[in-house]
Amino acid sequence: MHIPDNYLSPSTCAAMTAAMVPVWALSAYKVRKELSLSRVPLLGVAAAFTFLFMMFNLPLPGGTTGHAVGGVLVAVLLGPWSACVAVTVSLLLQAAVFGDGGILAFGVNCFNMAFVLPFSGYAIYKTVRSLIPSRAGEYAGIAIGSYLGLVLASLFAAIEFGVQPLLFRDEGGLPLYCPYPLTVSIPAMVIPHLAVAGLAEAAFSVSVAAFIRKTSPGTIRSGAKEHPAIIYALVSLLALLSPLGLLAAGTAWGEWSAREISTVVTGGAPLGFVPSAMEHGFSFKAPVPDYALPDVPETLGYILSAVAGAAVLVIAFKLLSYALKRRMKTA
Amino acid sequence: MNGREIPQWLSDAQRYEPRADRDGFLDRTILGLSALCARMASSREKPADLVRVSPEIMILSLLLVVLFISLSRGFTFVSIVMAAELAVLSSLDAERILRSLKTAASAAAFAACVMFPSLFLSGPAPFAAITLKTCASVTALSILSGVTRWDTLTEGMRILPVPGIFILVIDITVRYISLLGDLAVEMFRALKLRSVGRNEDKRRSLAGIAGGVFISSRGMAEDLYAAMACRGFSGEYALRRWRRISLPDVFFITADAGLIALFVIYGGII
Repeated sequence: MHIPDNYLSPSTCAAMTAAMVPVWALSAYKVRKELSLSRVPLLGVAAAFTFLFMMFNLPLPGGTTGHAVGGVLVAVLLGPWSACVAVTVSLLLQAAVFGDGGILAFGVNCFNMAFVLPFSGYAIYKTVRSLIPSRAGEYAGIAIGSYLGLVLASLFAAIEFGVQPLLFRDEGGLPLYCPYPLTVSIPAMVIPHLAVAGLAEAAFSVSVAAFIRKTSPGTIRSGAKEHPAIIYALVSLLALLSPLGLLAAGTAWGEWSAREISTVVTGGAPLGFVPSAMEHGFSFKAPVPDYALPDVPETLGYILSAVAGAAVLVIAFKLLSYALKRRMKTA
Repeated sequence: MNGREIPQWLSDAQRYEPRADRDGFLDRTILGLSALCARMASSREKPADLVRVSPEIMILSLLLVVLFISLSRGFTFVSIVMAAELAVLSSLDAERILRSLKTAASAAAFAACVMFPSLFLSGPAPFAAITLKTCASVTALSILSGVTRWDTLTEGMRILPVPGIFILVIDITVRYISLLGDLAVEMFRALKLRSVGRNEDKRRSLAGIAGGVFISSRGMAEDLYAAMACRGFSGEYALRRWRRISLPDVFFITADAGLIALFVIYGGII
């Protein structure tokens, strides 16, 4: 679901980023207000969780791959505003360092995965919980919320892909950006997420929520017992298991490189051309493209990227909380 | 009173405005020294080490890491070590993280400056390798010094075959840096307070401060050594008996074994 650069027109990207700006501003404000400073580092752990979740690529029907996000899980544990901040920061790290998701398309990816996904999922979770107020209702809420949240996010991504050929064509009538209309993009994105990725998201979210609730309830409710070591152990375990995400060999739908796209078969025929923006468009060279370090074996590089990425997110939020605390002291 | 009046010149309002002094370096020195002293003092007061691992095992592990980093070829092993260091750093508190990152960044910047000409002579690979290796080694060192107290480290050295005289010197140095630092800070402050207007002669006073600190340090060291000799110190450190190996020790030793295995596989030597 990480839309790369040149799949969407710059105007689409600009419009979606503009839509995200008030969401980011409000999230930052709400997080400052609702989350006590000593809990800001937890946001880093949450960001690390979503970063690692997104590294577990699953093979999807149709030869593509997809992944869970974990945004609804974070929304349930820390609130939807915190989830927005956590997913945004981990998307930023992925785009800027690992080339996963475009730089121009950053705002669009945030709109899908940091706004639509956590907020819709959280709303569904709340609704289910109010209908079934028991413990089972809570887990059902997490499961249904994360399932539908991910599917909704994929629907939004599909619509963004699908409107491109309707709006942007060159003189010869060929699409400039993503070449697939809504009739192709929506089934191609939504069906695999309905069938596999959504279920994985629900399973991931429920099992992690249950694990944290059992072992370190203080992470969720202040006042209860807290075992940060267990949370760290869980994050490390996810990082070490991340190469499982390499087993899914295909490319995710809508994330092909310019070289790949002309050979992608849709409806029995390959596309046969490369949209001009993908050949001549904006290109950003990420320092660690596709989580592969230079001269390092693929699996090891993937683990190292996972460990370093998760660690950087935790460190960043610890330093942020430290800086905020110091500012409050001097003010 | 006594028929005397206050002389005219004393009751006149004076408009003496000293020229602004250029003493930025003094302020910086005072601040830097005070911060160092405060850190040393707090390191002595720290109730316990963060990691309950025998200091000798930690020191040996550090030596192993630094040795392997410098022996390794290519970027694989350094990348592994750096990822592991980031993971360890992420579990520390913000103040320690910041200190370690600052130390590592300044060391890496220094290495980059030194290696800069090699960019034109032999390309970017050696430049990147040396800079990264420096950064990784210094980070390992600053993590160790961040999570353990100074005296725990010297205790660890006593068990390793380090000649007694080195431990003695390090021990005394560590203990006295903060004392001498306090002394130097006081002298700097005195110099600052007594300089009115622009004091062109200030730099020469610095030599006086250095000399003063040196003389006091000699005095203190002689007193300390005499006191130790009176209590029967012969220059040899008695070997403490090995304590029982704890669970964190076993974990550390396993991690070291893993490090050796990773070096053999990815070090690029074999």
